[in-house]
Amino acid sequence: MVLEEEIPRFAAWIGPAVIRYLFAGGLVALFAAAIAWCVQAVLHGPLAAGDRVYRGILAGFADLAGMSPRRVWALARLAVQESLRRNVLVVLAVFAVLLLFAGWFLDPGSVNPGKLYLGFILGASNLLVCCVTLLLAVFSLPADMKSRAIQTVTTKPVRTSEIVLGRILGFAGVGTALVALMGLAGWAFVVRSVAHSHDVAADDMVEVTDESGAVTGFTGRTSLDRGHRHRVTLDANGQGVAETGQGHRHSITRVGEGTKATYDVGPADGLLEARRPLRGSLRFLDRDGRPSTKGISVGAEWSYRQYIEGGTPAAAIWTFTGVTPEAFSDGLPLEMIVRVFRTHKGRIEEGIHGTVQLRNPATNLRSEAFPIVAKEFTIDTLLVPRRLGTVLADGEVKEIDLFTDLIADGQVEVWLQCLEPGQYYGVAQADFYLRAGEGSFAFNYAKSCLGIWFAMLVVTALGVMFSTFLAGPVALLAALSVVLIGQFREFIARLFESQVTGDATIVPGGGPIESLYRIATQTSITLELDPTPAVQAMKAFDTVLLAPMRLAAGIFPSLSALGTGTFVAEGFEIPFDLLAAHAAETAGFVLAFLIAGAFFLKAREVAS
Amino acid sequence: MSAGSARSRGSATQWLGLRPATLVTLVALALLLVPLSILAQPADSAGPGGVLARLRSAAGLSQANLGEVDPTGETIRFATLGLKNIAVTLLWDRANHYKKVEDWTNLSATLEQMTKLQPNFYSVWDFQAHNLSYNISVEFDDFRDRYAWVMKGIEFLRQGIALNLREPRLLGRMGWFIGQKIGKSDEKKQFRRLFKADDDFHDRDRPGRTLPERDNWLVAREKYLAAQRLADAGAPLKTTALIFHSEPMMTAINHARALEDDGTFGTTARDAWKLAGDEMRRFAMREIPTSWDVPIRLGLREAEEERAKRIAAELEALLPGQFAALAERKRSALPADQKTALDVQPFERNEQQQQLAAEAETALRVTWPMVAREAPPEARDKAKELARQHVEATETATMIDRYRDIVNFDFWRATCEAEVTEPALRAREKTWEAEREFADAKLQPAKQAFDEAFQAWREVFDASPVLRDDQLTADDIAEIVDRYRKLLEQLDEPFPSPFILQDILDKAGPLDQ
Repeated sequence: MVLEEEIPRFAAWIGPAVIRYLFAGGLVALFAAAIAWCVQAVLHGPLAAGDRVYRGILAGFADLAGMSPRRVWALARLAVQESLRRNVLVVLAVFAVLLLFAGWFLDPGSVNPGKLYLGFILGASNLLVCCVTLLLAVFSLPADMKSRAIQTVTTKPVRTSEIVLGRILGFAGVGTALVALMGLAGWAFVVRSVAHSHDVAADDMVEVTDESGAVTGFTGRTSLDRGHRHRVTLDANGQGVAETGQGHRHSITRVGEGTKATYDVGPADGLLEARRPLRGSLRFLDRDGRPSTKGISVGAEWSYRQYIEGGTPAAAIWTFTGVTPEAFSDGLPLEMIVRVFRTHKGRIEEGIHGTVQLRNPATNLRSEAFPIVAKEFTIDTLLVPRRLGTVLADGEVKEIDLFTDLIADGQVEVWLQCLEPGQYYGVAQADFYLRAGEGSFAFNYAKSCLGIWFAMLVVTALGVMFSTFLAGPVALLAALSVVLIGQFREFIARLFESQVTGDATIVPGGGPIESLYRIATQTSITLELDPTPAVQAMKAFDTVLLAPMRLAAGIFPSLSALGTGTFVAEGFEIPFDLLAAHAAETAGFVLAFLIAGAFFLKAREVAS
Repeated sequence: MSAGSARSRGSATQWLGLRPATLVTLVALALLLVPLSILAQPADSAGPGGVLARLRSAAGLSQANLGEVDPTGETIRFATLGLKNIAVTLLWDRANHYKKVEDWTNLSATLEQMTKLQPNFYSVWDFQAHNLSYNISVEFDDFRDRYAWVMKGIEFLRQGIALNLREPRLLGRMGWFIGQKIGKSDEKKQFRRLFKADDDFHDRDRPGRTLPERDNWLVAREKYLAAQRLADAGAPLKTTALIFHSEPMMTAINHARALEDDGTFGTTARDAWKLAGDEMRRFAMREIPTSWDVPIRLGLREAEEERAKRIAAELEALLPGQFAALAERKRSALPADQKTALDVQPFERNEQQQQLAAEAETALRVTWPMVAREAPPEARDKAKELARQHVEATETATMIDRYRDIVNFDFWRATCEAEVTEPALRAREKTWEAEREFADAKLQPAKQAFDEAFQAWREVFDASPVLRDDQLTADDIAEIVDRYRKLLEQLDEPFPSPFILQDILDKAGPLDQ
């Protein structure tokens, strides 16, 4: 799978993250206090304003510190009851309709149906749950205030922070139930949708013979089912596999002889997996064998993969740590994706040949080279055995032990080289890994649902926060704006950088006014505008418009960044470090929205 | 003011419990429904529907006229609540992103969604099918994967064709992909083999297709012929008709050439060239619309020239010597400087002389209508009519000539006429045989086959002046001769002098090494 950024260890990530969080939170709090002071200063004079703001902050913190779990629980129950009264469970019917008609929109003949179905289910669940909880959250408090039902609560000894937290927990509880139910239904849908088998007819198979006429195997194809078929290769004993296609393969056994032979086809393997990879760090050697942090660019727009030149000392080298005999008792199951770039046609009917070698980083001892042929987008596997050979200076091959001779302190290097001059191998760090085990797909799927749950929590807290001081529709719009800016926060950051530095290659086309101008005048985004005073004024105005967006993008949550569906869809276990980081991020946002909501409600209470 | 008085004032300004503004809005809404109904009522079995429905039907724009109605697409379009265009823009953007990051699963799904939203937009089908067959297929190293993606693009077009039954261009694109992408790629040998063995495609496309019929060029020709039938039945052809109608001929020619490249000769190759000749003649006699709004037939240039000649002779008989007399009068009337400029050889004229000569040539231009205008009154009407016919025939011949140049018609006609002959078939077969023997290092048999091939080529060129004068043919022959030269070097034999195809070699430029 594609991992454009390395996943940091949670223990290393959390410290700097907390400092950044406190810094940003402090800045926002200062900004809010400054605004409050300005408003109060206009009404009551500067000194009184300072006093009022100070007392307000103190009261707010006292309010937060004195929250009672019992009262919060009671308010949360009320929120749940309100949700049920508002027929929130209708969303389940909508989800059921989506599942019923999903077959219309999803192509079973897709390149990887498992990925497609999982992407759809996780995406639809996320959207529905977040929409429902957001609607509940933004309209609840304003409706209570309008109908004055809030007074039945505020006249009781209840703190504003308890009202806000109670609502967040109540709606989140409803959201949790929805996530659980949709997750279960979605899991059943995916498993049922991708399960399939094929038939292999005797007419579709032919014997493979050697020069003497002896049968060395069988080759042919499976039947066409769910929009695809597989090429089949069996050995002389009739054992083999249907080649990987659409992200899966089938085991096949030939039963019987001659024209009466039949074939047993196994279920689809590899579609719904949870590989547990042990990833390494990648470095390169250039064509002269000198160390380099990068490989060669072959001019692709996407520079995720770096390339090494064939027929030269160029190599891609992964260093794996934590490789122990206990974890890999049968040898090292290496899995790899190797892309190819050809500068000449070469042998069209053959792939590009290369080698994989293991090297002891301490002693420089190398294993003999394992030949490979690049399989591009298909994950190739190579089991490096416990006993293997090394080539001595005189050309003799000596047997060595994997763990005794090639691994030093749990570290081993894996070298990839391309053998064919003029051809290139392309790899990224995440393309080579050791398969350290197999997780449960169901558990992995559940972890992915946790990502939806995180997003739901953030959205709910955000909605409740806005509903403490805005009318329902306005709160909805405000929350959606925050979500939208959060979704595009990376783009906004790059756009702002492009605007400030004047480097149009970062994001071509300029800010909102310039974009509008280009649309109106049908000017291409890559065309540099003449720096007339009008254009410069337009760009300056764009910078002013983008500045607050850039600030907002720095602190607003990105819901899609909390998702981990790609891992499940690609068949990889979701790393604990990532989940923990997402959980911490969610907790941070919820806490911030809770505090802000409590303060806003308190201010409103004081004002009224 | 008391609450009671407010209530009583409110009830005095309300009717049916509604405020006047609300009431007026509701009435306005109800009134607007009347023209809306007249305009937008859908057609059904009971009637032709409202104005829009009738206009759609008249222009062939209703969904049922365009092609199959896809319930999925209709549902998605409905679900976008009028934001279809925004959704499509976002999807194009996503498709580009997925292509960039090589996420083929999501790219395919996005393309599917785009076509659901815009099922009748030709460019979506054309552009994205090209993306699949040409741009994405080459991202894969295994030729079987490449082939699978080429076929994905072709199947994508098939979906588009089902939804756009009156769009000949989509059928044409399908023909182009099947012909050109499979038959002209670097992997054409492998692709053509896989295409023949692709039961799934052929079962979907036309069940019962025999093995010889599974040639990609023949299947492409089927698509072009289907597209032609559609255009002939009145479907609008929004592309250059000349190129569009030349495709069946070109695919038939490519089919014959591909067979010979594969080493298939004899009656099979002869039949293939016969088919190409038939297609060429069909194309020659097809009516082609032109930018002058006068349809032409490419095969009629010679006939038009003949007609012009015949009419000129009739005019000469009617007005004997008058054409030459007018020309002479014009020459006599030329100013002296123009006469002097004309006397200078064209390449030796200076700038002023060139201008004077150009003016003189315009002034000297004599046409039969000019002569007819000065004819005696008793013959003038007839002369004018004949002159009009002469102009028509001449202009038509010129127009045909220009259109022929665009598709290189003269060359392809000469090719179809020559290649079906026995010497050409022999020349191709012997050339193929010679190159195979040479590749297998069987030098003497290769030399003998080359010699026989050159002898046959001589016969072909002697019979076809068009091929003899064609530069590309000369270049092809020069490449063959170059390999022959290398063979002779290995045999340590001199290059024959005089060489049987020396005139062709002289025409070809030096070979790129």
